[in-house]
Amino acid sequence: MYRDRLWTMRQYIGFGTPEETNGRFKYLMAHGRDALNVAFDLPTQLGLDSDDPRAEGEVGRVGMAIDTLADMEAAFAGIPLDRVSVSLTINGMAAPITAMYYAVAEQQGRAADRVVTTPQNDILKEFVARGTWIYPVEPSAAPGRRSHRVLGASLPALQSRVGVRLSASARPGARPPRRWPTAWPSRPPTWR
Amino acid sequence: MHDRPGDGLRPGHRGRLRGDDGRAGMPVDEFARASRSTSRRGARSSRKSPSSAPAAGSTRDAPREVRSPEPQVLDVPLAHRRRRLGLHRAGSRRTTSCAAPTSRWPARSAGRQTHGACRPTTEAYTIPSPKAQLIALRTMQICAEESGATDTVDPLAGSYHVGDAHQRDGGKDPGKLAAVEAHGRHRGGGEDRCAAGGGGAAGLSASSRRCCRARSPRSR
Repeated sequence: MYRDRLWTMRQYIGFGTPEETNGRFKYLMAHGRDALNVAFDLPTQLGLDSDDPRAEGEVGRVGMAIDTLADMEAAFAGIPLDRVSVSLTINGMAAPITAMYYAVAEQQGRAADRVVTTPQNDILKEFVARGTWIYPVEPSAAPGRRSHRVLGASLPALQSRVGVRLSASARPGARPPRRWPTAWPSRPPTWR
Repeated sequence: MHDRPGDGLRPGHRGRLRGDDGRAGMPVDEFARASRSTSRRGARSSRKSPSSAPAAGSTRDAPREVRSPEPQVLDVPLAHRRRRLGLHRAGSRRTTSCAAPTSRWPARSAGRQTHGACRPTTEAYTIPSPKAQLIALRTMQICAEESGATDTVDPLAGSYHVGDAHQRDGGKDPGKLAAVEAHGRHRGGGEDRCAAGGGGAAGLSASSRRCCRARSPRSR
């Protein structure tokens, strides 16, 4: 098991500007870490620009602020995206952020099938637990489904599954189901 | 299901987005800080008052000025801009030295960040310093490279077997799982460490147990 390959050592990192976060990424990679777990600030998670009045006081606070593709480029500058696996901890804005990530990888000249990423993409958790949802349930779930379909089909290395964080839902009171689903999906579910 | 924005699941969310004073559900410390900033505004207006107040007996007004313990904000527009860009945290020493948030605006833009008291890092309070992150990484590396755990077939003592069994007939037999659950059930209340304690929070420190209990879900 772990004799072949160690478990992934991944820490949740992101603060301030993309450049500062990039510095921290590099600092930890220099000490032997091979995976990233990116923290985005709340305005980014809500799809707000950093100069939006509603974002005041929260920009760069609990994660890094991503407004444009240039920010994403700065965040991953000098990081070989085909040799690290990156977890993008974002739900409401999972589709555009994932697209930005692959755009950066393309700019770096990395082969798309070597770029491993796991967008969390669990919008239901935002309704149950955290609150960074943008639209109501139905229209929120639609881009999530679509990104599963598109990314799962076109990018084999993408872990195209909803990163369900049961712990985040359990904290405000969710219980496990009485009867578990008959089988866990062994491949990305086909949504329609 | 929910057609209107703000319908159903979390009443009041939209209202807060539009920006009321955001004090509903504010942590106590934030509330105190916000209240102090109000009194600071009062101090600023009282600074103007000597010009408009009758000049005689102005010494009586002096205690009102020293009442404010806060330092005066000298360059309000700059400080405002810095806060808005997050520079007061991001570029400063505070970011890396585990300081409490200094924002006068609480988490207004989101409903709330879940504050699991059982989590080792809660990023809304602080961001781990490079040293803290390095300690975490080194701990993992020592476990992996030096403890010998990875030299065994089954380093986590049963996890492989459990994982394999789960993959083979994952959850097809509810009776079996019910029996497992009957032995001890995770009562909610947060992070994996609570779950790792078995049914209750055995194996945790007294304070962790307390926080698990305090965090256990409201029955709604």
